[in-house]
Amino acid sequence: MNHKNPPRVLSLALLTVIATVMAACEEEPIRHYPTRKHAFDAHAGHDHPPGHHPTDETSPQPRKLIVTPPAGWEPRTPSGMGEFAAFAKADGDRETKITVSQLVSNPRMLLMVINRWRSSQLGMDPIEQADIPSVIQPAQIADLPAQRITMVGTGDAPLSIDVVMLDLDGATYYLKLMGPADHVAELTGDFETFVANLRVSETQQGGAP
Amino acid sequence: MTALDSLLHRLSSLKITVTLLALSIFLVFAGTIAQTTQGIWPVVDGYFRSLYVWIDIAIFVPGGYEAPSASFPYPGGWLLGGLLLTNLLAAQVTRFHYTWKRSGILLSHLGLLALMLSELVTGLVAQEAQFVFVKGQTAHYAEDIREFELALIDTSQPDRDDVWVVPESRLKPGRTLTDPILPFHIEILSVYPNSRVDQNTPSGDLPYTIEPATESTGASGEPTVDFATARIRLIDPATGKASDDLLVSQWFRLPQPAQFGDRTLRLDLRHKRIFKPYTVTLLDLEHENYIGTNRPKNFQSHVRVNDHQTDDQFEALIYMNHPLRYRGDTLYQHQMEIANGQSVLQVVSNPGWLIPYISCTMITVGLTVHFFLSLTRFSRRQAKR
Repeated sequence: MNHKNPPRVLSLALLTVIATVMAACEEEPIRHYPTRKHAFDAHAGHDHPPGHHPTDETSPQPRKLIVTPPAGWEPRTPSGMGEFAAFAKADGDRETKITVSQLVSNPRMLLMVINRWRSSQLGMDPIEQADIPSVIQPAQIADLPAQRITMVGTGDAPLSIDVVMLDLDGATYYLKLMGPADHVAELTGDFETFVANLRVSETQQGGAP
Repeated sequence: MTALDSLLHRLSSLKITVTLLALSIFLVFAGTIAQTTQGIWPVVDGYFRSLYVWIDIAIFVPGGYEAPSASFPYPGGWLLGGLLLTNLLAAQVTRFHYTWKRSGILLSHLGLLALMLSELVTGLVAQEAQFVFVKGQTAHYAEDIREFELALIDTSQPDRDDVWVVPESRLKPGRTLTDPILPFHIEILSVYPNSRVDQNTPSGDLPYTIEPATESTGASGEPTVDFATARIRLIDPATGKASDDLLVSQWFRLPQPAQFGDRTLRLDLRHKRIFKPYTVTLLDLEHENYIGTNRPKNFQSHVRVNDHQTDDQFEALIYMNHPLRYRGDTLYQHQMEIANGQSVLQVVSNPGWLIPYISCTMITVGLTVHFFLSLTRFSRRQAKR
């Protein structure tokens, strides 16, 4: 075999590769399939094409957390990821905030948010997944089991974070009290009252996040 | 010389090789810099698994300086890779001599070709998703949390639902989907790949506002999940009648109800679902620490696999460095939250996973053979002298 007689097999391979690359540029198709109506399972999924285990696409909406603004606190514009309510209370140059945020439940999120608070807001070392059970305490919101974590940062004027977390129908709600450690200690009672006043809506059709 | 020979000679030019390699170096540089403002997967798809990319000049401007609002087109990874592949194949045909002396180099080049093809195979067919479940639950599909899709579910029929799934790649703002498989046209008004909720600000009939948010970037250092939101309108192809604007968001954890004509619908913007021909039930999970420490010793999920097509049923333990391989999928223990009894299994499917190993072996063997053949020739010449 020499360069004046190029093997046709390689030429065909060349064309095949070019055709494959061109085919890769095609758009993904829109799919259609029927599915049987079935009971809803929030974690196990609720639709299946033919040949798969059939379940339901339709289901009641999840419950949601109903927030009552804490007395004496000013409403603030939510700004953080998944945040949908925020309140603040100031005393001189000390200001403490209560924020309520909601994220889709996912085990990766808990460690991520705890470490974000510890590293970027409190100046603490991050923890490992295995450390989580040792830093959280049991709590309760509207007779539902919840979790609480309290952290005090480092430095001369440490910040403190007190968070109550509730898993509710596939979402995790984070209720966070954050501010200067001494101010947070004074306002812990307000925060606990705020948490005690939270209500959970009934299962409903149609929904807000 | 035939026209094909002439074309192949031109394609095999070393100047083309050097130019393409230089272009590739800049593409890798730009793709890396782009991850300061974009997520790793949008960059991989946009820069490296595409024919061309519009590179934003702002990515090269350091923070604190005003960045011009301009971009320029540039060949994408698949175009450069395809051209390099073509160049290499053309060189194999026209310039290389198929003799024993050249066997090492030829084997190395074939290994290089295989390595380039492995990326093509991975880009086209590899899938990576997650089973997320708590003890006792059964997962029927895996979710790819890097992509979203729009599902329209027609619940009008008493005995079944009809589902249409539109992939993320088709959800482009300003576009109207008129695919004949759809029962109506879908006008895409806006798409936010990531969004946030402001519950203090009402918007229209809604007591809250969903706003666009910055996508998580590849340089953030923390794993984050984006929550997409889109605004769409349904159009009856027969009458041209359009629905109200409909909001769909991953912040809504369940499908949103909607009525269009005589159809009762549910709209669901969700992570891309990859249906499997088998189900996985989480029977038990275990999390051990080294005694006296909080250091994890072992995460372990005890699962039962049920194959609906073959009727296979078996139980398996999945733990660190001990994945379950079944039907071309590899199920790794990814994460675990023992407090909630929740386990996350990473499901990876890549038919081309062996190709890089084979190609690296070919390159190594080829270079070794070439070295010893050259050494032998050198020794003979020295002996003659």
